[in-house]
Amino acid sequence: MEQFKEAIRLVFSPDKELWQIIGVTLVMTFASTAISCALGIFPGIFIGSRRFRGKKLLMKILYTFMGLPPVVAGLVVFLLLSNRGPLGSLHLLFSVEAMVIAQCVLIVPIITGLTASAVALKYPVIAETSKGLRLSGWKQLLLLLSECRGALISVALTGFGRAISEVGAVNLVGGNIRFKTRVMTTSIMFETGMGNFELAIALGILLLTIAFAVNFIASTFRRETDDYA
Amino acid sequence: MITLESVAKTAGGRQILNIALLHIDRGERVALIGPNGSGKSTLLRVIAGIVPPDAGCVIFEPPGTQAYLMPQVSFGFARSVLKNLEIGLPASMKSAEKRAAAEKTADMLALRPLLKKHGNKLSGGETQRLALGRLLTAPKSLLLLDEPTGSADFESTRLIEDVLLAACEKNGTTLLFATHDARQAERLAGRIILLENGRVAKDTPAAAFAETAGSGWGKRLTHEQHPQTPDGLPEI
Repeated sequence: MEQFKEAIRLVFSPDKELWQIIGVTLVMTFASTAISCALGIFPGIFIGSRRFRGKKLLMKILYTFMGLPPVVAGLVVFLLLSNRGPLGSLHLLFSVEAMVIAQCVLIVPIITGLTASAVALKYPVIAETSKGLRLSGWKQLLLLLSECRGALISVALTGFGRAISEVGAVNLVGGNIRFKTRVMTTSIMFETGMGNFELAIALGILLLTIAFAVNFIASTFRRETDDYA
Repeated sequence: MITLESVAKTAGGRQILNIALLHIDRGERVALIGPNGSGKSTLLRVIAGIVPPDAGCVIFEPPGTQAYLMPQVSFGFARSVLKNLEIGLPASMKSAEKRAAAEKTADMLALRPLLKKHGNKLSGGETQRLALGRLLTAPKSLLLLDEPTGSADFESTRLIEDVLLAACEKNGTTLLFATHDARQAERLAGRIILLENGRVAKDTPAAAFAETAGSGWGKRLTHEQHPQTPDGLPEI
């Protein structure tokens, strides 16, 4: 109980280090979600709306990568960015950028796969209606995006949820370096290991609060777009 | 206006369309009837250019004639009915002109009270009127309608039929529509084509259809689907 009280005190009077950890977490999470959406949504739309040879195989590969273990993704990025790796000259290992790259490896397949599934559900009827109206390809695409916007917000939220809760891959490629690459999840793991349960609980409460706030804002936005008239 | 020559389409190993020759004149109103799976929707999609035929060709006269299709499954986009009605209008039109055209169509199809409602939150019959309205906001030379009143109630059906007849007569629109309602075919069309197994089984003026229907199906459709009492009212 005392630990919980101390955790609450920490939540309401965070020190400089706690602010820094929150800042790195937010930068990494929003950057990896935004980049993953930019890289994953349009391929998802293409896959969901087109018939082509090898589509079933591609979807199976996508679904496999959607369940990619984070430590495996972290290991791959670690090997690529290590000094002996092909991208070692970039000196990105143990940086926030490396953590974002690892997150993207994990999130892009999720964004692409979920977008493809969402688009595949709505595309046939939207396409037939749009083509029946002889709309241009560009206008058809805009209509498809508009009709799928609620689903796309959910897809982005799923990516965000994965990014903010990730610990294995970011720990591997970020190194959990204090004042540099330490994020809330790796801090919780570290502080729990050190026996600092008050700080770990405080970080957990803050992490949940951030996730709830982002989901609340996104859900409100989704409702507003759905009710647009 | 439209000529189909040796048009064939196969799907899943089954031939769903096999039209040797079919010609539809400018301004004609033609009903396509036939049992489920007879090729009505496929024929409309082929003419609209949504589905390419495996063989044969569709020739438009004059070349470049645009065919507009109202699919069997009507769809309301997730935006206001007003915006839905404006979707098909050219981008070059001023927004005030678009709004006026959309409102005029809404009045014709009794959609005025629904203008601010979401297109994806309408009933089936309302969605069909909306789908038709999107096609009628600007004059069209060729309309293809796949069961345009399939989800509509009696009043909506009559309204749609009246609006269609008026629009076709005013603009000289060629109309080709699929229906399971032989009475509707007779009310709307001057010519009825019976499709069976993807082939034209009968092609006849609407007035003569019941008497000359070569297939038993045609007669069943006309006489048994809507049996009437001597005073002209439907039997219950």
